[in-house]
Amino acid sequence: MPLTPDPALTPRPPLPTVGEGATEEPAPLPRARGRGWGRGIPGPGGEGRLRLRGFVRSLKAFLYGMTGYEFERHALGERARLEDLFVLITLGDIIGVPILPPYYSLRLLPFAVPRLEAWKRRLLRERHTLENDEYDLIEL
Amino acid sequence: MNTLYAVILAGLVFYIGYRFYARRIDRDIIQSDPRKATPATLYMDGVDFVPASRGVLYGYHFKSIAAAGPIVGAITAANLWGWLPSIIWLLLGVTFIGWMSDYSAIMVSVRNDGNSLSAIAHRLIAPRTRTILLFFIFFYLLLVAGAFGNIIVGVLFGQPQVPLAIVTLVVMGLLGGQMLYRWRTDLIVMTLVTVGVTLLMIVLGPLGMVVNPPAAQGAAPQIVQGPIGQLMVGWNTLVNGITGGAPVISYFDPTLPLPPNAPAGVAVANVNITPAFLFWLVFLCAFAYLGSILPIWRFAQPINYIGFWITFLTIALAGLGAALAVFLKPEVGMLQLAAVRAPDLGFTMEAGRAWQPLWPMLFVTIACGAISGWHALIGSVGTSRQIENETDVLPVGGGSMFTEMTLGMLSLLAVAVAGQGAGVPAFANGVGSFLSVFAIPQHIGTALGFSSFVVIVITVFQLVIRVMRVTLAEGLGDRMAIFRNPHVGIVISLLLMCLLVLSGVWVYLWQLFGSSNQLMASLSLLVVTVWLASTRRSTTFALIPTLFMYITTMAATLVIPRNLWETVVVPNMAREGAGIAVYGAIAMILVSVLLFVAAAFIGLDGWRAYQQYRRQEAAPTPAPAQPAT
Repeated sequence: MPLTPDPALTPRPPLPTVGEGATEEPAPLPRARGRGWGRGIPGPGGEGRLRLRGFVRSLKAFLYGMTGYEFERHALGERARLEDLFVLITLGDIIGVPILPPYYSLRLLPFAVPRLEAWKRRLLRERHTLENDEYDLIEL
Repeated sequence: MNTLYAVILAGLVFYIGYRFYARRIDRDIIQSDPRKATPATLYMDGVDFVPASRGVLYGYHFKSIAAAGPIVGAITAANLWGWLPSIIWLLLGVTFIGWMSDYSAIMVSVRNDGNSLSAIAHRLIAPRTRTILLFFIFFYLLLVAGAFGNIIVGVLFGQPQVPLAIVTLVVMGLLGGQMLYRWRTDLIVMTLVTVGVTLLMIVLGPLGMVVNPPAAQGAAPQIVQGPIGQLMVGWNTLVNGITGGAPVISYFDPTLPLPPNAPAGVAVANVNITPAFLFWLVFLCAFAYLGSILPIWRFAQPINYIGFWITFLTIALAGLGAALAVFLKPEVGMLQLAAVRAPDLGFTMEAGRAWQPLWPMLFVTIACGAISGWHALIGSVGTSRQIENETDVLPVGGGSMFTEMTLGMLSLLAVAVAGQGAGVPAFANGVGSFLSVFAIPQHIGTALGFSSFVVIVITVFQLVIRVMRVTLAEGLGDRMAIFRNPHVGIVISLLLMCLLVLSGVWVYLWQLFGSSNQLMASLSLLVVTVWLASTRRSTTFALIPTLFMYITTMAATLVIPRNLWETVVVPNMAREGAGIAVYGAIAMILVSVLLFVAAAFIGLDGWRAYQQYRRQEAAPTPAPAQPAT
């Protein structure tokens, strides 16, 4: 089970909101594929060409959202569930479930630190029945 | 009136509603702010909270909300009241209520740390709202399972060219899951193989079929099935031989025509459940059982994916045909169905007959294309946690709903150009007519319409049974351990569905499903209204739709039991062998009453919460404390 820090899964500090020291341009975030409606995309060609390229990009994002995105989300969810279990087995002491001798837990701790916060949030967050994968698939 | 005008009208409403009304609400009242952090960026965990671009989310949300609902609702309403009232409700409903319901549910969730609508209702309205919502969800699922089960079995039994496509769908679903998750095949290759083979079998089904002109004026055309259709007809005949061709159950369905030799004024049995019908019902149960018990990636998800493509291709082609028909084949583009089917709009009530007044019944018959509570619930737990920027909520939530309206509109046009027939056959004929614009033979196009419709509905059906099992386990599993067993949950769900299929009068079943859906919509609108009041914003744009939907749906929930009592229970009570129809109707009456009572509690709690927040708003702000001198 790989536990190398994954930048895409590393929780980021919260962005400052309005009136709480908001920055002019927040740092770009890692996100799913596809980018906006394509307005103002730099590149060669005139305004019309830019618009066309933006439209094609938006169309691709739309089609991806309708087709492959649900597989991506499902695969991410499956991986997270396995990794949550792995962290529970190796670092269960954190929530009072000592399964592994502390020596090994401490050896693994540096690798798990980047994702511990997200792990705790996932485990402790209140869940609703509607959050099951099946509900996402019902189209009505 | 022709289809081009209708398409232009839909486009205009989309543009004007979105550009001038939706944007104004978003800018002036909700005040979406691109600088505010959304839950996806605040709590990003790579699984539930992941920021995605608005283009991807628009596609994702649209796919999550658009499928069988807008199609079935529109074709049922067109048959009951004509195309004009249906179009008017679709356009006005989506412009003033529908987009706002989806949009504001997502926005409220975004502004409340990505909490689901039920969690927000628990906090803002009353703790019991959440329990009532689970109750609504279960009956919503049960009713949709009954309504869709009825359609699917009817088509599998009555259209012998269709079953081959469904059997292929099962095989391709299993293959698709294996290819994608085990063999790690590229998504495009998997799509080409599975969707291609399913489409091929859809086309092979009606191959060799000959449609002869009707023997007499006004009679139905005579159909001679091709080799595959004949094989299925032979199978049905063989199964019917078990009882020597005699029906297993017979009863009177008030929404269907009487047999030609029936004496006037007597409720003669016009529904005969044969062994072959039961066989296809068992087939459907086996299909749903597979979808519910196998891991989601193994069957349910790939089946859903293949179903999406079949629907998408059929609807896109049919839509193009509707737009081009006026230029390429003008006779196809004319609406044949009456604009208004009954001059009194169904308001005249007669004893012993179904009462279908335009208000409130139209507003629960067409749910998903105009407004749907399901969208709001799903949007508040899925889409809202992936919104990267507050300004994306409008194109994603509102834009998707406006786009879904076009799907409802297209279904309506398909039925309207078909002119004759009702329900699914009329829709399939309409799709066949639109596809004939591209020189596809009418009967092949019609078969494609039938098959694609069943594919959409059956994919939703198997998921509904799966979700019923999950809901039963979550709702009752803590109190009765047996409900945690998935097999028990599935069997109970399937038995309940079978009872509705065998006993249910389809139109009432659909309207009851629409009522439960619209009651959920009223609840989501109520949560939005209370949230607006709690944050001291103008509530008018949400309060008026809330009141309209609430009162309308409550009224419809009273009309349905009246119709069931008058037209099913009373005429069938003394009929031998019709017990299942009577018990089914009584069960549906009980469901109506339960929905009504549950909705009354929600309304009461919601009104109290609204008044409380309004009073807080009206209360003067206390003066700042003066420093001691």
